[in-house]
Amino acid sequence: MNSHTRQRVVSVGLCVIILGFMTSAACADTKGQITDRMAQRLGALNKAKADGKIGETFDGLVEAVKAESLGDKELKKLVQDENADRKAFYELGAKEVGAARQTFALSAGKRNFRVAKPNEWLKPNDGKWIQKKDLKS
Amino acid sequence: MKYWLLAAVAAALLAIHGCSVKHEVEVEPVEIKPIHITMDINVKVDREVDAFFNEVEAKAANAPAADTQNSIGDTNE
Repeated sequence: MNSHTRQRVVSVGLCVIILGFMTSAACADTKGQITDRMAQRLGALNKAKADGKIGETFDGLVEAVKAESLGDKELKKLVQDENADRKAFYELGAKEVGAARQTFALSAGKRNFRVAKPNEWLKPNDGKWIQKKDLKS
Repeated sequence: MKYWLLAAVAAALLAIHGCSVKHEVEVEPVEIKPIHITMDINVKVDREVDAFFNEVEAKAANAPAADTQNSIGDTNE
């Protein structure tokens, strides 16, 4: 490989790397975009919680209380989209604050357990679903 | 007399040796991170999480009427 070719390869490589960084930065969600999507979904999420179909987990995510509920495609998408956004926030927040992602997730779990309504379902770290009113503090 | 002299010389030598010995102990500074740093991060995380979910709820509450039919304010099902 002569010097001219080598120069070309290095230049192209650098361009690819720079473009890659720019693309990834452009694609990364901002907190505002995440909260916008979650706000649009909140009504449906709260209804599903009130109906006992989904609940909050100790690590800051939502899950179907009964696995068969996920046969409902809309509910499945709701859960998937909500968890994707929450995980994106935990990742973002962890980088900003310099904490572990799991720290954010667990803090969110605690917060959501605290604000849950009495009839809503919660899943502590023992894996058993329990209603808020039956949760021992 | 000789023995006294010898003993004195030996004692003097010992004293000189004892005085000339130096002990240098190097102790590397031990870094102990203050506990309050860990607690401060947890407090910061809790605040960030609270602020985030509160923002979601505020945005949902401010959304157009059609989207707030089943909002958090609606507790009567």
